[in-house]
Amino acid sequence: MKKGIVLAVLGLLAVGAGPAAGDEERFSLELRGGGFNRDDAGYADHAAVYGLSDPELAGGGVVEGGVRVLPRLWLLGSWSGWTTVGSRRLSELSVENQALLAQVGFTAYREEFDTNGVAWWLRADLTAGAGLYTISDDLEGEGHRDRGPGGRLGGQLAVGWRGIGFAVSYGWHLTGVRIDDRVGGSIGAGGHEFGAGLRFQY
Amino acid sequence: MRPFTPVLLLFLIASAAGCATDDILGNEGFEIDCDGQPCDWKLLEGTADLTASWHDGDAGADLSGSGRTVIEQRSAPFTIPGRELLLTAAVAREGASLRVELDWYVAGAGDGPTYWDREPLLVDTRGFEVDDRGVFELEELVSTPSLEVSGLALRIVKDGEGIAIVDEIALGDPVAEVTP
Repeated sequence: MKKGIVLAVLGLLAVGAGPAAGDEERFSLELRGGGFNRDDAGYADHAAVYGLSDPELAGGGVVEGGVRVLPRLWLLGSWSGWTTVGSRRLSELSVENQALLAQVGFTAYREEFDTNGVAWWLRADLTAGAGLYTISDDLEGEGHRDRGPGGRLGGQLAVGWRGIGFAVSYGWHLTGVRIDDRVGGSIGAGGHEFGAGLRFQY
Repeated sequence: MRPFTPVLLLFLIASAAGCATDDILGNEGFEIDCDGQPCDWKLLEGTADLTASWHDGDAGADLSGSGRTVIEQRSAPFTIPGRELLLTAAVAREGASLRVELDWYVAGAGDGPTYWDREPLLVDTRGFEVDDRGVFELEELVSTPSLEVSGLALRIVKDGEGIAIVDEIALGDPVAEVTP
């Protein structure tokens, strides 16, 4: 139901925004690196108490490709992967989470500028989508794994020249996918994603 | 070679001082395996799983369940830097009561291949109750009866029913733990 409302709103905004410029790009590819603050309910604190580093924060990246299907309206596919590795003496705790998502994007703002003969552009996009989430951990060969559906709401700001640009992004991942420890703690594949990287568009 | 002698001496003194602040206990994380059981630790009473703590892959002493359970580690010989030592451990406790007991010994005059075979003398038994609940890092100052003690039997005693998981147990110089 919520997804339907989001899609309807994006559709109306796309129509209301009017036709895009004739030279608006049709394809995009973004490669972003960054950090992920996982939803934690005790697991990360427990790991820290037992001498392993806190796995609440992770590093990783996103690959996101898109195609414009209507003026200002995009269909996007993305894969993101995030990992944390903490060590204590010879032991190593690794926690990984991934998301494979289909998203709808709306170009909320897009403008081209000319500064002393140099043409450049600036754009802001809002995205919403859903897909498959996984999370797993491993410590001395023992671990847990979970996977299931989830959704993402996000936005990104990009600035560039011709077909190449720099993008910064934020994404809020909502999912019940999680793993539990033995003392009542859990950590989830949901959370807050922050990234920055390159944007290619054509 | 001669000019280096004072430097070498200083290095040896510093090294010896460093040794004195090391952990008195061994196998603090229960991860060193001796034929399927953690080396240095012994189950004296009750039942315990000594292979898992907060995570299936992290060895520790899971004393959870009902009834009394006691595990022990004996350590000797050692020298201590002062009469006050800091005991640290990672603990998960809910319901069950948990007590730490420390038997302090001085070396005996008997014969035998090990410190314990030479009939060490028990000087004092000291201990404390663990009051905190949940999952936490335990830090407790303990005092030894004398600077001459050179042997320790440390026991973790669980009573009652509930969760009691202990891991990363260390005992050393409290000064070394101070962050400047």
